[in-house]
Amino acid sequence: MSFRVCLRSALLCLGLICATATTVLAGLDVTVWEDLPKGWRWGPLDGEPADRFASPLLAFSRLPAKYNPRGIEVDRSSPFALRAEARFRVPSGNARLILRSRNAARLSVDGVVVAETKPVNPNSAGHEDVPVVIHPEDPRWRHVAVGDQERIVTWESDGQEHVVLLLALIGDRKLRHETGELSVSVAIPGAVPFVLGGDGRVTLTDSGWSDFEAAESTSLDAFDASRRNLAAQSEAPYWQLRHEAARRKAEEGAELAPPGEGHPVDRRIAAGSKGDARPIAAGIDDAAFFRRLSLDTIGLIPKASEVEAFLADPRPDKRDRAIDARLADPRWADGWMGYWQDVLAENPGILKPTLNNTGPFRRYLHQAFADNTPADRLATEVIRMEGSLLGGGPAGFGMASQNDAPLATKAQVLAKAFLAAEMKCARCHDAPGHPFDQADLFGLAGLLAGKDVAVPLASTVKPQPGGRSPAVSVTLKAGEVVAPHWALADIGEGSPEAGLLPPGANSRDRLALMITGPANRRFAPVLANRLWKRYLGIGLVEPVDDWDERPTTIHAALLDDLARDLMAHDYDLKHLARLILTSKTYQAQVDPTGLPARRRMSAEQVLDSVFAAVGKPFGAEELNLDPDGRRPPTEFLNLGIPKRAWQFTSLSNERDRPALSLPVAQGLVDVLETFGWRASRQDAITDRDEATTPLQPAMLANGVAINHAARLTEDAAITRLCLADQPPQRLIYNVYLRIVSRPPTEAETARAVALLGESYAGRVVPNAKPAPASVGRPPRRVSWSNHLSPEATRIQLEEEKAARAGDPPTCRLTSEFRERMEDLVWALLNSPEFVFVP
Amino acid sequence: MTTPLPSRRDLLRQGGAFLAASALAPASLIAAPKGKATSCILLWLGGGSAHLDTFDPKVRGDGKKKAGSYYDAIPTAIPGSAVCEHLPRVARKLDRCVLVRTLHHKIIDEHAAATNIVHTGRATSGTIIYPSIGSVVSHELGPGGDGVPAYVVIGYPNVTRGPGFLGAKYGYVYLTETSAGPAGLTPPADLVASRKARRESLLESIRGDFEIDHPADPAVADYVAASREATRLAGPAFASVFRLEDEPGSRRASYGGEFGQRCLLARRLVESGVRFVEVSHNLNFLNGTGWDTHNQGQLDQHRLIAELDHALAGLLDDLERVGRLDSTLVVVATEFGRPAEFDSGGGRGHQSTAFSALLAGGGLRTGQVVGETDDLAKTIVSEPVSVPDFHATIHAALGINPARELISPGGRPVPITDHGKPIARLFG
Repeated sequence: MSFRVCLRSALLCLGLICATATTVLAGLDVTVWEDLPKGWRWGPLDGEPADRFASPLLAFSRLPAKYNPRGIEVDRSSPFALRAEARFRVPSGNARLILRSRNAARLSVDGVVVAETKPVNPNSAGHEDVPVVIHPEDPRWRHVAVGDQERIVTWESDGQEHVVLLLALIGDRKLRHETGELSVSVAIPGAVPFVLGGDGRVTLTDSGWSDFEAAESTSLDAFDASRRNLAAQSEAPYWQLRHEAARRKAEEGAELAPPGEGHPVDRRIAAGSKGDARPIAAGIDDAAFFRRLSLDTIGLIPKASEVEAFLADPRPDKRDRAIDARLADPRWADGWMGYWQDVLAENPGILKPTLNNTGPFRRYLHQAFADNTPADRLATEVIRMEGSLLGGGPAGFGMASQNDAPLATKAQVLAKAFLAAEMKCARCHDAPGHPFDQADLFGLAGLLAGKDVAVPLASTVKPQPGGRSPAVSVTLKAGEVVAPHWALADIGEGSPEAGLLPPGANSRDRLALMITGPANRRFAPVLANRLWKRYLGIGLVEPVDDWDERPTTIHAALLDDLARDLMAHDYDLKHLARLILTSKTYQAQVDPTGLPARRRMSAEQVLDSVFAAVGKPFGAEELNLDPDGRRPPTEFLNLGIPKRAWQFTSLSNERDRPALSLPVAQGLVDVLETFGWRASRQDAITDRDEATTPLQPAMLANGVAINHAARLTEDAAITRLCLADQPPQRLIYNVYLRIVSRPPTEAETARAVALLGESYAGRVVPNAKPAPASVGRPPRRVSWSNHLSPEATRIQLEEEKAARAGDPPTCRLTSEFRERMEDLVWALLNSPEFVFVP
Repeated sequence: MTTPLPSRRDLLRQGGAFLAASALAPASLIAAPKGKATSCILLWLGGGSAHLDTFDPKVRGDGKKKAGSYYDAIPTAIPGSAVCEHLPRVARKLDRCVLVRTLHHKIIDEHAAATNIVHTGRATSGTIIYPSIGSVVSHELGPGGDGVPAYVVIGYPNVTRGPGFLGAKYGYVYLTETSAGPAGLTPPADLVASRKARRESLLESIRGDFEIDHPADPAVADYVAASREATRLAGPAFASVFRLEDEPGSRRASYGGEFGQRCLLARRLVESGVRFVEVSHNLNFLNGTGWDTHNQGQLDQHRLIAELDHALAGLLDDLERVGRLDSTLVVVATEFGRPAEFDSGGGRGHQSTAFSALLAGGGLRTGQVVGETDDLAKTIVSEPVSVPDFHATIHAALGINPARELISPGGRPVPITDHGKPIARLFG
């Protein structure tokens, strides 16, 4: 093999830590082997590996994604093998090697097998005993993760360099592709074990592993993105062709914008649409602008330091600069997620999906927005439904559990999302208020299927006994077969320019071109209108996803401008966003009866912003009811530990079992649901139910999540802020910047300083030493495999109690001060100012 | 094979809003019976309770090869009708109840889907999310008292209990156990009164400033009003409903353990004006599996049944004592039943071709058994009751017309039940 390239410099010892420890060598060569012979156990791996990459360490909590030639994520074979080899050197004397793995793994040194773990034993019954916590021999060591195995073997070191080889089986026919905490470490007497590799600094401790995971996640995200974008380049010539055609189309017959100076959007708005010219409202101040911009782009409130820097920036073009910076921020993708999850009805279930569930194609969407995939290409990729079904690819969009006409459902979602054609009535009958017959929808379904589609038995209407006769006509009989066809002639061409089809086009490619191509009259305006509404609160056409039943249009010429802008700039959503965000119209004060409309934060923005304000992680459980990894991905998904609100999903406890509860996550989901987020997205919507209910402020006032957030715990950034040496006025200033993104008024400062009163001066408890967070915390033990045991119920009920109680407050601040400050934080988080977009 | 027919579309294009008139025409409702109950308590036996081992006993099986009930049957207050021997208290009160032995639907493979059908009365569709029966009742009746929610769940939140297209306003307030208090309406346990007062006064000043700075802004005004209402809801009045310790010890004991205490809380909730309370019987540690009695879950199933017996009889007694049994409909339901045969571990699989539910009080003509199943309670012999019929019966008991149309956000009329017909002989 040709990988022993840059290993020579690796034996340098890096500082004191290494002087007594192991060392190894940068850039381990890792290969992945798919389509293994049945029952493969460690036999020779012939031919070329399916994948090859470098890893700094002999530790893997996840692996690089696999992409198809278009850059769409696909699944690896199940199982597949991982092979990693490292050279290492340990000072002479007694040492031990520690192998940890989820599925079977084998460790060899210098060609001699020294340790082996067993294949995973699948479980479906749920009647096992909850595993006893096996505490590591040294409390500093990290516990073995639930579902993982460990082997510790003694190894007498001669101080020389040796070669260690790790072979591991990942996944299986009925298992998810999880590595567990696959790693090889070395323990030298008296010291905490080190993971082999890198500079030997990653220890097998909780903090060592969590630092490793964070670093691994960052580097793998970048690695995945670069590979994905490289692969996506294969279609670049095709999309260039498409975008040139779109540009030509955009230039046809454009109506001239009204003459004059200034921003093109503002000129249109100022001119009005039907002779109702009106001035643009007065602008908002910098602080309000910056908070509004942050919510609209990265989906949460800005950091205090960002607000301070922005307010202090004297440059006249600082708003334009801030817009550019926010558009370039990787969290742009997070900011869009909840919206498209709703619009495309992303609905993964983590337990035996049945409620019209889809795959978790959130992963694809996030990547697409992170990559700023042009909107026409994004829609095309969704329509193609390629890639991983359950691992997050667009194929997951195509899934619909317990649905007798899945492709009709998907056609309806697509038409609504991208063409504002509401065809849901046509699922069962000709739409009474829309120009869509049942055959039209099933014709689209046929284009998705690439063949004839039969109307299912349930898609009919029968009269209510004694009720009125149905107001709808039914043209198709149950079981009737519909040929693939495009019936939306008012919206776009059914026979688009052949030259614009990709090479080897199939039926879905043709449908994608009909929907997203330049000959479609709706695609660009519908998307432009969606962006406009997100930023201004009211669509130029309403409803934004239904343009056929008495829509209201407030400014057709402006919409035409925006749509042309999108088409003329490669369907780049950021380009169009910049056009809108830089306008005075966007930067104007809210007009409760006009533009910009009064908007409340979305549910995701509320939750993300609460935790950003106090500088704390959610602390939620992994969204996974099978943490020991014994069940197939068709029944149990692992959606990971959520870091942003959009990553939550239905907690799927329709069984109503205490042992299947995720109490911390539940408290967070409570906030989301109260504010209009839907745990289960069985249907596609754009506008959420935004009705105000008393439970919204109540949940912010009393919910478990807010109880966590408003407490000054050791891990909160706001606790550190309180400990800093500064005058109380400065602390209050910073607290206001953190929570409401503006400096306090003089009166507010005075009120808050008075609240803290004398508690401020003596707030720091001398010599108080916080307990290190979560040291030696045993892993989650309750899993599907054991959830029916009484012990599982007992444990989870304890977890619920612990979640309600929350983490203990810091011991470094006096309770007299802390409680006053917590009450101020609570009040600011509960102020209406917090939940409204300024 | 169908080819597209443009004619109707052309007509639409010319006619504009042609069909709107008929689509929005008021429905002529069926002449459904109109009961006088004002609230409903649903006891949910999640997991699929075995009807042969509870309300539809048949010949004894042996827990192995011989199919049948797992327990002996005992006579009840309805002459000629028996229930499981572990339901002695309920048996004595069965004249206050209706046994429905012929519920049925088509889903057996998955609890979530079956739970969804029994809660919403419909299968998932992909074009709309149907509301749970609790949310429909909340929508139709609203809260029956000042400062209380209309719908409370004592159990875990999940989508099947949710408001669906009716929106969050018709969702539930929930608590997972009686000692926990309702989520969002229970201030943290460590928050003493002086801190609560300090928080409220701080918030009031901040809220007031914001209100003054945003005049003529209805969204802000709404939220500020909701925020003040939230303070009231989370205040002492509604919280006092949850103070089970205010009940005499003997009464608390008459309900039994945690499930019983939930039932006692349900009584207090309906007294306060809550319209619909769903109480989950999900205390799996009694037998491991709860009502999902596969394999060894069967062995201790009698403990679960006995707890239901204790709590249900206690609830009916107590409702009668306070004079609310006629105005409170008590429903015991589950997602499906279980077959007469035993699995290899001595438990039972799932069966949805026939299973049982119980209705009590609510002003119904009680003391009746609806429907009959065959020798092994597998097939319906007479009087099948569909899930929509069952829902229609509950709605009718609460004075809600089951054919009334709700309007979904897209303007689509959705009848409260999918062609459900109330069980006529329970009314009048």
